[in-house]
Amino acid sequence: MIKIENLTFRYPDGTEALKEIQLRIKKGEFVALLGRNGSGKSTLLKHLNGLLQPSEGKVFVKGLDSSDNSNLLKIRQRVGLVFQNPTTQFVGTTLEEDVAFGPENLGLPSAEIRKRVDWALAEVGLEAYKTRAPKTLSGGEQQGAALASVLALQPECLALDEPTSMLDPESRALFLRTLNKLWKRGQTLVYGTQRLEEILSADRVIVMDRGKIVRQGKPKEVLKAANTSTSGSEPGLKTFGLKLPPLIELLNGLEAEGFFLDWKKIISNESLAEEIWASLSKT
Amino acid sequence: MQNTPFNYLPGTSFLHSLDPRTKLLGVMLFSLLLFREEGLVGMGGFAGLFLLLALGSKLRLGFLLRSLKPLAFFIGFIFCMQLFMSGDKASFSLSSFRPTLEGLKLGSLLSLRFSLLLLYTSLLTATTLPSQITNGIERLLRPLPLKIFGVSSFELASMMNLSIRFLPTFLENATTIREAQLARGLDFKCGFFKGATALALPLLKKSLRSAEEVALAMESRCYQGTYRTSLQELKFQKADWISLFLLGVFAALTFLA
Amino acid sequence: MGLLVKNLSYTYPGSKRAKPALKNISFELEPGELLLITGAVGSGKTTLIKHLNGILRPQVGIVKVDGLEAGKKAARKKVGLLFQHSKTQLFAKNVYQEIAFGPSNFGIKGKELEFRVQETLSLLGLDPALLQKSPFSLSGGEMRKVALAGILAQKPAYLVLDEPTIGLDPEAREKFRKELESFQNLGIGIVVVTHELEEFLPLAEKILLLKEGKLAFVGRPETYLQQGYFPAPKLSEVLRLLEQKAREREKAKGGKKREGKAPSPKLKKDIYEADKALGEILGLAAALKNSKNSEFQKENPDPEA
Repeated sequence: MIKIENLTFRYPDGTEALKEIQLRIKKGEFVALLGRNGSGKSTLLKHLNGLLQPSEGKVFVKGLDSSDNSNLLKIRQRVGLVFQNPTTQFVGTTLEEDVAFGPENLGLPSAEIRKRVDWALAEVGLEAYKTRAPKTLSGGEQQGAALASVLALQPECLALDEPTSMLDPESRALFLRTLNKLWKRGQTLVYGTQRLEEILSADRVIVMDRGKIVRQGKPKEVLKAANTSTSGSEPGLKTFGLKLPPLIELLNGLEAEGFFLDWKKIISNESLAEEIWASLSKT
Repeated sequence: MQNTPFNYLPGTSFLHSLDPRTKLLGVMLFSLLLFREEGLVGMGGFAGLFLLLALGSKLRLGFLLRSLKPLAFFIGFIFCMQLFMSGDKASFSLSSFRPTLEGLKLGSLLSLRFSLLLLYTSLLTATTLPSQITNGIERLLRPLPLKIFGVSSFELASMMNLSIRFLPTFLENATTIREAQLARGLDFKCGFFKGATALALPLLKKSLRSAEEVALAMESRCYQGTYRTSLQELKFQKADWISLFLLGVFAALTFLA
Repeated sequence: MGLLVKNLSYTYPGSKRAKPALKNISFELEPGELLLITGAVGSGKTTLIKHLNGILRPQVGIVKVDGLEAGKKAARKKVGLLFQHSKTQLFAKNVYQEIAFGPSNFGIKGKELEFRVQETLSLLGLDPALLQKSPFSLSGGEMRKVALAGILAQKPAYLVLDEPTIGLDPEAREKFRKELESFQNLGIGIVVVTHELEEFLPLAEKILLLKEGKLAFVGRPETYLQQGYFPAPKLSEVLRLLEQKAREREKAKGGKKREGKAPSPKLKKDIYEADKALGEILGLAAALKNSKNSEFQKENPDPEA
């Protein structure tokens, strides 16, 4: 669905943010993008919907070349980008106006817009708030609105740049559950984060550092690399500024003790407890 | 007012159901006529008309009158100015500072005019969502050749909507920054200029950064500044045509009278 | 000595439903102690800390800083407060002026002022060469440090931090925790408002939970974990859920009490550490096995128990 060939990107002042990135993302895949601040994560995500265009190399979204400006409108209907800050994504004076913003830009008739707005709001569970003003909504609700307003364009792929980093734990959990629901229904997800416990159910994990892809593989493979810098032949994730949270250490430890866990099922504290319990009960 | 932007109050009255363009044109017309009106009787007529319309909006009169509150002092000032200063203007002696009948008439006229301007506008804002007002303004401006100014009616409407949307946020940011600087002793021995910079610069920077982020979000959602539709596409109904017709008749009569 | 809050209640003026933002809050903080304040969004955390440095005045109750009323100038000097996204408060021409702003407002000048700025720089590990640079030319992490330096240079007796690690990467968070420990060693009393209990619980002597403006808990972290309050560090939460399941299963099996105690989380501060939780979960597994046929157990001893 997305094909990135030899992507190199330099900012106007010459700093190289991405170097020779090769990446393919299949339809329906859940790809996790890990990297600290400055690793190039955000820069890469902005290339997925054409906000940034390559200095060298190419980005194809469903066959459309992002360097061609005439393709950008179509690309942005295929790939929806959700940012970190809930407040600065909310552009409408009320929630339904905000979700309608995207379809309005496409010049759709108002009956169609209404349909899409109601559908998108239902997807994120905010229908009851549709006439609320932004200042009456919490950060988590505003981020839900951001997701709905992107969904209203009906993109096949959702790209998200650390969407939960400014949210409280409850809102975070709700947001992740919603994403999981969307993914189960066939949505392609490219999820950028520094919180490793959020992406256990990913199909593929990509680690970035200094503009390059330094690790790629299934979560159990990539997240097994130890915290310290002495784990076999590969340097640990710590060198890339990422920390394996205690949760993942626990999962790895349990696996080592012979408890098999299906990481695909782990999307919350509750589901983790379920998985551990299910595994323990087999003993 | 907690849940809705500005002082819009949702409702199902006649005024609520009118197209925002009708109401905008109405306010513009009334404003024009109010400025032409020189007689107290006529002004009283406008006041009566306002009361009639207020009835049609099913809103409490007290709520509408509250829109005068922020400018009550100013209105009172105008009244007193006219009341006491309409004496013999040639001489500046203290004796010219006395209430006159002429002053009373002028004072009432001016303060009524100003108050009615505010009141008619409050009828508009109370019965129309801000986004609908901008929607109406955009439709009214659309046929105009704004291209020569390098801007489209859609861009103007977006600008207005964004301002409405971000004004409360802007004020909130100002409060937060003020509190952060208070924690550093802003109100102690800090000089005026330094204090002002401590408040203004962070606010400016934050606003500019937010603007950049908003622009990225808008672009990502296919904003182009050109033709766009609306969740609530405006369409004149029978009630609108009748209202516009009545407005036209009223205007014509006032001009002829 | 110490921060004292007693029966504090506050309702924002103009709040239509007149719902109090804070109702009857009481707690104390000794110098050198670290207190965590946590709770859901809108539970009153930010309102509470604004009372600590006098931005808000209590409508009911008292707030005292080392015996002085929090609103008084002398008390305000003692409390250094840093809000979320602290780098937004930077405004000065250079880093020196930025750090000097706070202390100079509180009456520090001349040689003493210079000394303080230098001292704070070295405390936070900042390069003195940065002093002449514009604060806006620094990296995000450095900017935060400068904002913190500006507050520390006021030499507060108490430091109040609102979500200080939001948006920081894991490395920076770890460094920050070490810094907090060093401040505690200087005798500064610290209040941290946060959702990230995993990060800060090990450092805290006390934790305070707010629920809709009311005090739901104040006390030691061990007790907090034991009584199962939310929010909690992830692993504590998972352990609690597992314990619950074990209990339910016991009930379903006829409610016969197991031999020996049900495994309870070892209530040290590092319960969220993987190996401890791992040990607990394995202990739970063993207990589960033990609850099965004990004869079976004798024949097939559990290799992990």
